[in-house]
Amino acid sequence: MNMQIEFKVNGKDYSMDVDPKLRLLDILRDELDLTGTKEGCGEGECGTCTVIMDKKAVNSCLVLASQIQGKEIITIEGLEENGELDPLQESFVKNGAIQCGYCTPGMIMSAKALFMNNPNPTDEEIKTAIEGNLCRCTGYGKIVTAIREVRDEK
Amino acid sequence: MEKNLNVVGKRVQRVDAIDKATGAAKYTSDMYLPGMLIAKLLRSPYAHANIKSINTEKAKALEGVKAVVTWEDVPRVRYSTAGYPKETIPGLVPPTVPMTELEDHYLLDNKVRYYGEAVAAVVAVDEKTANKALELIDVEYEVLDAAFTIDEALAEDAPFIHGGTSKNVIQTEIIKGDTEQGFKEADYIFEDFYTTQGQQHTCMESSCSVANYEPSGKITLWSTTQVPYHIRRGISEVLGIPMSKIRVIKPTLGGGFGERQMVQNEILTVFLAQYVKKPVRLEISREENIALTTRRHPSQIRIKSGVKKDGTIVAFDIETKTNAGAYTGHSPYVTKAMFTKVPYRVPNVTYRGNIVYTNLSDSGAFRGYGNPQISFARECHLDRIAKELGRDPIEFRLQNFVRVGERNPLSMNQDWILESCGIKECFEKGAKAIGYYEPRKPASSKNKLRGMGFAVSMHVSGTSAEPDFSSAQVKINEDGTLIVLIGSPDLGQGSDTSHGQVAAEIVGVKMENVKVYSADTDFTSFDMGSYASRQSYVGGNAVRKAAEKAKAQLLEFAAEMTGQDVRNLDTADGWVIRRENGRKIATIEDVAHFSVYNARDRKFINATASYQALNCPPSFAVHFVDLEIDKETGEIEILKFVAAHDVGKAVNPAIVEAQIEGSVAQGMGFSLTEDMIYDKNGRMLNPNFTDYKVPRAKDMPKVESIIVEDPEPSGPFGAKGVGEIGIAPAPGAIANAIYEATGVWMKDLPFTKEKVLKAVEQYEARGAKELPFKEKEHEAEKSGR
Repeated sequence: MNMQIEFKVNGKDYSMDVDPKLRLLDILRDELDLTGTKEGCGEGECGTCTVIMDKKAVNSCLVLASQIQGKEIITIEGLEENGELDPLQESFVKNGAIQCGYCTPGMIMSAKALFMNNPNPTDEEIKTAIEGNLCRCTGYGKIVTAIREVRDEK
Repeated sequence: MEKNLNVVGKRVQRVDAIDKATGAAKYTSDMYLPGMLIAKLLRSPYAHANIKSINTEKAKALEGVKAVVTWEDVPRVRYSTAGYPKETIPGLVPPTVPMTELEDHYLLDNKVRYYGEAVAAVVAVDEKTANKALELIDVEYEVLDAAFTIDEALAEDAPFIHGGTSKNVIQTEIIKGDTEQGFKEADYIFEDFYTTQGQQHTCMESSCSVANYEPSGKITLWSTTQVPYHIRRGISEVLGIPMSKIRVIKPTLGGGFGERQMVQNEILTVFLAQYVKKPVRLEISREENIALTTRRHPSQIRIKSGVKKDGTIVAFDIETKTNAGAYTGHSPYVTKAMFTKVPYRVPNVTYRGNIVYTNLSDSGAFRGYGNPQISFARECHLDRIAKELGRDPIEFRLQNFVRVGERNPLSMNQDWILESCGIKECFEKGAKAIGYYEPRKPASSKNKLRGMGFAVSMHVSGTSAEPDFSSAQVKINEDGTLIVLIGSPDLGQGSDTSHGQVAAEIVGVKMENVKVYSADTDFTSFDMGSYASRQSYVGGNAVRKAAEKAKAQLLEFAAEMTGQDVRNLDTADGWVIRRENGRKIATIEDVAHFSVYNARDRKFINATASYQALNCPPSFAVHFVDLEIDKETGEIEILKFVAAHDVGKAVNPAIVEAQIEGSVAQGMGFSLTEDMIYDKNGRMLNPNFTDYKVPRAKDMPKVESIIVEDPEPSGPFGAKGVGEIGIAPAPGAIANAIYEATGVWMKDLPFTKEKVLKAVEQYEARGAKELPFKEKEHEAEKSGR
């Protein structure tokens, strides 16, 4: 049986009549056409589908529609402001932290959530924040550098 | 006089970076076409079985199901999963093996040869319906005995899995010089045996194909492929569609590493779209991806060396047995690669390769292509020889290393000469960075053992079995901006950016004025694909040639426009300049405008060039590792990893570093944690990211990459390949460091905590007080045995 849910994505209010077992990932990709959030495993093990829900990084493949009632969600598409890239996006681009790019949105969202809760994380805390985000291309070095640079410039 | 470079050699921003950072980049898995149907595969619950019957009636009757197809519905045409053109499929397979053993795959067959092999395909309106339909298909199997390991498949009573030179095996032999004589001349003989495990690519984007069928019969396929032109040919050959009606597009791609050098489900997806006359999408799950797509060949390697007292290696006798899985695929070439990727000038070599068929999904191409396995075995073996002979391991390697001016070791049927080699500089800089010649630092605590090691590898810049080939196109728009078209896909490694840099440098425009399109068979020019570390060298040379032609045309128009002699003109940074003093004459923009609007004989500047490789210059690398072992847990912590690479010329140093760092991560995973484990029925036990352990952020040490540039005369701006080599030295470097720490040679990958703990036990049992690397517990065996 469907249920009515109200939630916010990237600052915009939504009201939807959905199957409560629908995954947040599918709502974002299929219903809202926000395909920047990727599916890597569907089991919460790879972090490619990471979005921010009420200031916390979550695997959107593990969040069900019934759990997003009243929540505020931010996806990779919500980071740009007035056509300006988020400092994390800028830093990933500048530091060559992107190769295939499939893990990039999730990686950036994990880092963004970290900064929301801890503006001055240690290097170890940075690595912990992205520990759930797999990357098969970079070896993480340039990703950690990119995040560290945003921290140091704040 | 050498011209200053404005774009090549610079850390130019990647052309795709902003789209990827903002989530705007569209991958195959982001493709949703109107009316698109979903395909799913029914997979076999047996590793080896004949299909006696399939009943699809109930599945077909389910509402929302558009088609259910089995082996009876698909064309009965054999093809090779390697994707290579027919004439190159055999590789070094002896001619006694019939082509049917190499083109050994059907879209769907009446027999299954591995657990999880596709038996039927369902097309339905959505995923849920498709999955439900799969459950409604009844298959009657006649289960056969199966074999999963090399030893099981070679056993006398093994079931027949696949034909070759004999049951379940293709044996090949390559002989150089006279090995028997070589061993007679040797003072010492050393022999070792190594094993390596399977490794999965785990591209972050799972394999996906989307095919669109148009009423005219035209097919468009979007796919996670590294080889769009090979896929187009495969579709044409299997389904009998002319190439003019097949368009293959590789959208943004979430990783490749060789997995997508294989034929994935592209041909089947096109068949299904044609069958239902609708767009069809076939995406596989993560579990299917890890368990059933191609893997790195598990191998057994026996290596025997004859060495003279002065340290000269005079003979190698190498035998490899590789677990090919159920189909031939890339095995002939991976086997050959194990023979050629040896950077030492050993005059007498006997190489025996055994491609062993088993009831696992087929092993295939994976970054390094046989090199990580053979480099691991060889570099551990040579380290042992150096240490037992009391030689400095670096000097021992260099003494035997191939020299510039000698035959290129990658040559088989060609007479290629080695024209560049920066190995000495790699050793010097790498050893310095890690402190190899400094006194060893003590372990950080009593509970730890510390050791340092290194290993060397050599890899290709393009295919080496035959001269490689690519083509490219460069167009100059009327505002002076460039369009570069190239067939080889950017998988994320950054080839679009590097190719753009080469074109920008040659034509003389700014990088921001270059647009690169790759991998669309209707619009880009023919290319083999992205594999064999071929983009920088082979693709780069094609782009260079096309750009040079375009520039020549541009300069002709500049001469006409300015009234100057074309021989006095050149370009740089958006300008046409005087060759002798760099004085700016006209903007490229104005000349390009002139070419289509005002010239006497107006022309759109548009140049296509083909490049057939003149050589296959090897790239070289040395990896150094400083590590600690926790004596209680067996855990290895890499304290420092130094990777020194001779790349000829780094077209984009940031991209080159990224290739090195990423390869090291995969090499570390291969060395320490990644393993494909199967149960007694051939079902993979760990097909998920919790149990199949890909390195995570905290697992990675700081990787210091050192770029050495010994310019390759035949390379574009001196460039050679870099994409794959970085994975090959890592396991040997780690094993050699473990030896220094424990005095135990690790001969079986991966070095799990359990195996390392056993080494620690042996170390403790010996009660070694001094550093084990000074011990000589094995005497070199005397020759003449």
